[in-house]
Amino acid sequence: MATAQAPSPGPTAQPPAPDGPAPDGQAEPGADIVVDARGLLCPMPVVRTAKAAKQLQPGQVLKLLATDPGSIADIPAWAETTGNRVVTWRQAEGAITFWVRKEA
Amino acid sequence: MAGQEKLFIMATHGPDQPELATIPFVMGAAALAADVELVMGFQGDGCLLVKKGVAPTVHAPEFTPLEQLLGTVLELGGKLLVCSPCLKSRHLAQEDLVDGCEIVAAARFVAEVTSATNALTY
Repeated sequence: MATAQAPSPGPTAQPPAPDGPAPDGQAEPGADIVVDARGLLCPMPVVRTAKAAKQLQPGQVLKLLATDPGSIADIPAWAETTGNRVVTWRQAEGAITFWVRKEA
Repeated sequence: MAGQEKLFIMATHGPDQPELATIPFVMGAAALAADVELVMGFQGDGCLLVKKGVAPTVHAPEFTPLEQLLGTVLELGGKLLVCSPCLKSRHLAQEDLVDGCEIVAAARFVAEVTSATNALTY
């Protein structure tokens, strides 16, 4: 089963982009932590995201990989409820990827 | 932030109806992930969901297995309250339940419902 990974030395997060899927070819934002929730069903992508987000400081970015189509609605709803922000997301090659900035 | 919100979920369906047995835990885990306080109640056949050995047998199609959801709810701090007469009528006692359950009666359920922000029944 996938688990949250330790913070990676990736590039600094880019400025927030409008919510919604990023167009093809656009550079990915950086991430401070990666959560691989591929293969998990509702609500586990949200649960994994919430647990990993507690490890972040405000301003840091979490990257989530998921395959549950419900994540497209669930992650923005979770972010709104918890006061965090979906920087951007995209769907490609069978996976849905979110970049979530910890705000609070 | 929703830190002060509290959700009460009453589960009344047993393992013979796996989808309705699972959904309360799905909602509960999602609530906890959103920093909403969670109290779950179990009445009727819902009591059987927290009987030792039952959760691993419940897996509704296209849902997370109940055992994983139950573990998540407990790990994230959800409270599990079980109806006392419902247990007695099924010849069950505290030692038959998974760790983390509290046996209560009607007045406690009423107190939890009336102090919750919202309540759901399945």
